[in-house]
Amino acid sequence: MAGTNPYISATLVEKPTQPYQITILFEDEPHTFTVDPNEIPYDRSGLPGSILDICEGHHIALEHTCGGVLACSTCHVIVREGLESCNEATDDELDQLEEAPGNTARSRLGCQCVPNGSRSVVIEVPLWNRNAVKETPHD
Amino acid sequence: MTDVQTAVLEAARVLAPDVREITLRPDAPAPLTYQPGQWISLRLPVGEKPPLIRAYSMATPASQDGRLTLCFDRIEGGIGSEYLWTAEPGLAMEFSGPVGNFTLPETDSDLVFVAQHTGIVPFRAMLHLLATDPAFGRSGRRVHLVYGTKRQEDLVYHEELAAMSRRVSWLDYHPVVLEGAPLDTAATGSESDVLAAHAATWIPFVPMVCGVREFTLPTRSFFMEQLGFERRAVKVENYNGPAAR
Repeated sequence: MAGTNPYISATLVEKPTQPYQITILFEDEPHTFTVDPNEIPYDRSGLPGSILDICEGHHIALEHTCGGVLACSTCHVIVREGLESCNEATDDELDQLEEAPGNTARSRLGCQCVPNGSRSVVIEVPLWNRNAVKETPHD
Repeated sequence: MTDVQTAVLEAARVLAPDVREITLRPDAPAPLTYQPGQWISLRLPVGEKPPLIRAYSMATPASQDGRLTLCFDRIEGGIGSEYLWTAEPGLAMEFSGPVGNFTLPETDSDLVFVAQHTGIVPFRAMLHLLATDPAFGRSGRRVHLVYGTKRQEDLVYHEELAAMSRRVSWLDYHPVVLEGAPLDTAATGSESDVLAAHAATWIPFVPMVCGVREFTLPTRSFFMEQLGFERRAVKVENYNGPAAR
């Protein structure tokens, strides 16, 4: 790479230190499981411990067209409960969310939203994205 | 779910020591339409939980034959890039898209493209489109292209871009390499050196920046802090996500 980079680019994330429950609402029923901090990261998608990372680790294939690198808004989710336990959205994430249909005050990108585990979290996959979510085969 | 399409890897060539270009021929009968700067999402059958999703910008404008030209750099230990690096013609592939908003802006101003390494890819597609647009050629508008890599041999599409800059009057090409003695076509230094020396004289323009986040964000900051641009006036495309700390 060329150029001298005096900047550090990183998203401030408080990683969970204790197990917590997360519920994903899609397919007309809640899918609830426990997030174990020791298992993070589950996958290679999104920030470690992000909603996308957790979904991938629990066989829920949340759409993430860009590969979870904050370059699209296809992993748009709505944090129904526990938003206060999640890291703050960056300006870049908010920019991408503006492109998402049905953007709400509780909207986040699944690849960037990391709960800190201080309370349970309930995540809704927006209606227009639900057919993009599927349960993948378990081992 | 985003529609998944199929394609066949038709051709591949190495452009630089760690950069490979591949050409896909989609199976769909109608050519894919997209704007230069958009990307597709490859679904690679690798990793612990395939498919591994990886996004790649098209290196050419949409064509009537429907072929998609992608370009990627080989990341040591990267599951996706290692798979693509060794993929042979004839391989069946899956993809979705095109998607993306990093496209030519609607503006009457000049454009400043700043690319590092494979960040040149979407700009190459844009330049090819502009080069076939007689109205753009007559408009008097200019495109200032600042393109940097670590070494001279890492400059992909360099000869082509240099030739284009000689052929059309509107392209102002600034290749720059960080290491090694400069040849007659590239200077030694960084993209930020070029911007510091010239960007103020190019105003007014729309800045566009592409590369890895560690490059694009400080470059955007330069435009904001040194030239007074609003953050969202600087169009940015990142090839990697932010790190967590």
